[in-house]
Amino acid sequence: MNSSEYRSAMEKILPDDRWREKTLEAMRAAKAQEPEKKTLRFPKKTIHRAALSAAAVLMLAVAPVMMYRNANGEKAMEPVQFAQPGQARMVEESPEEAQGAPLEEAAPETAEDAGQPAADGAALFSARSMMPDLSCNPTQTLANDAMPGELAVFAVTESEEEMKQALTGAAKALGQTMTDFAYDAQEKSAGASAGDYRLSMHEQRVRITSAQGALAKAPEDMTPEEKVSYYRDTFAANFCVFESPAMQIEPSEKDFRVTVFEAKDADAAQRLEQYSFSRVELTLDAQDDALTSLAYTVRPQALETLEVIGVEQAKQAGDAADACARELLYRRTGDTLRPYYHFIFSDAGEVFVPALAADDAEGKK
Amino acid sequence: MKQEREQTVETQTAPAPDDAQMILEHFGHTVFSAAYAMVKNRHDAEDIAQDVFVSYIRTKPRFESMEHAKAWLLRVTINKSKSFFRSAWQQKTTGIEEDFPDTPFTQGELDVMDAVERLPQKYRRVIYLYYIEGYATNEIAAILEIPQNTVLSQLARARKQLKISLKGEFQDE
Repeated sequence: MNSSEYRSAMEKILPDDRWREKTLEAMRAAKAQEPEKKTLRFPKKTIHRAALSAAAVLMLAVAPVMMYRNANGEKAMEPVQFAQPGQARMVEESPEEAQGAPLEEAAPETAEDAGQPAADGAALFSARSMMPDLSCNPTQTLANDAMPGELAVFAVTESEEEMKQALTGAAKALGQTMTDFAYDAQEKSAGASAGDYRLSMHEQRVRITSAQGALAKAPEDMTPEEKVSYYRDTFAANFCVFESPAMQIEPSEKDFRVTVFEAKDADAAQRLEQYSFSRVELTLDAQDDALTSLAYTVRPQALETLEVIGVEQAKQAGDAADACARELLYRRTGDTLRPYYHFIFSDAGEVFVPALAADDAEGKK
Repeated sequence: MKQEREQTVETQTAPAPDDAQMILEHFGHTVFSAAYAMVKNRHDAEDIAQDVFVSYIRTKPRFESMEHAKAWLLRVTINKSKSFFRSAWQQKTTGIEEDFPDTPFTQGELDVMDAVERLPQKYRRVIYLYYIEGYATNEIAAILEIPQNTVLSQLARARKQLKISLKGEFQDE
């Protein structure tokens, strides 16, 4: 099984003559309806930033070092130079892949512009001149020498008692009492009820749903963005008491939003921890009419703080000299959450290298 | 065949914004197959593809090359497919054999199409642009207006899912 079979199959996906005739007819009809419409130009060297969602704007606020061209095509900021894209290589499989909650947490989707190319001159190819690695992870845009020098190791919250305590807290925040607590020692997950609410916990995350279908319903006259803020500031605020949101992440394919909270004046290590653990996920229904579930991360207990190896040392350990991007993220190793360097290659390959000097890079790569 | 088609696209001059026949002739297959890859249903793919070409006529974008035009059309197709998913109701997936009953597909093709169709749409669009249209990850990032790292990450995860679905290797050839 290979990609050539995918290609050959797609080559056979052909429109028929009936569709071509019908489409040509529709195009001619559209043309006849708008004979005087002004022709639009799509210049190559402008960037339509207004098309970015508010979420993306917030994301930019926490990624201060990036290349960005203004409307005149001039560089406003310089990118962090890291490495040139390299040759093709295979994707590294990770022993922790199957346990991937921390990985998923650390590599969320990013905001996207769901609209068509804007009719006011948004340049499709202008994005080529933007930095290639605009990311939610705050360490992606840090210069090598600005990376954290020390990072904490955390204990995974997964014992029965810990989960019971976390779900009791969730029930209390809902104004309810937890009942029907059940713990699965094999899956390291727990579930409970709290009135009409359903609670579950797995891999640091508590998820709340309702037997009634919706957890909350915002006033109908709100815009989708206002509704997200409303749900976050009212309902989610019962569970997460953090400082102001640092970024919003809005995957386009699923109706959920992730908010990462960040304390003011946080340093690089704190920002990485907040990015990894201070977050809430709101799932809305298809029409953004109601909040259908909420998940938040239970902050893990810090065990110790250890020295972080440098980017160059990690690249060497991971044979990642030709990586085109890198970031630090937390991954699960045994019953701890530990920082890793995540190197990404231009052909979509990736490798994870333990970031702590105390960890064995070769053994856990 | 793919490379020949791309070469043709690159070497020709940009289409006139109101040349319906020319744009349909050159990009009918591309737009239709992209729409099909996204919505997995021939009837819906035809509607979306037609809508894309009507949008082209109404918007009258002017491009500097055929490659530029192609990328614009692909982006509009993908965005319309996304809106399509979000709107109204979940469409029925009919299956490639039912959609194209007169087309002989090999078992390998059917298996890989089935595996790709089971991927989330965000992965399918990246797989499609990478393997079928031959775009580099930075170009896909530009078309989708998402960070290149997101593209790389989605591509890696899509490949892993394909390997699992196909119970073996999804190899690049």
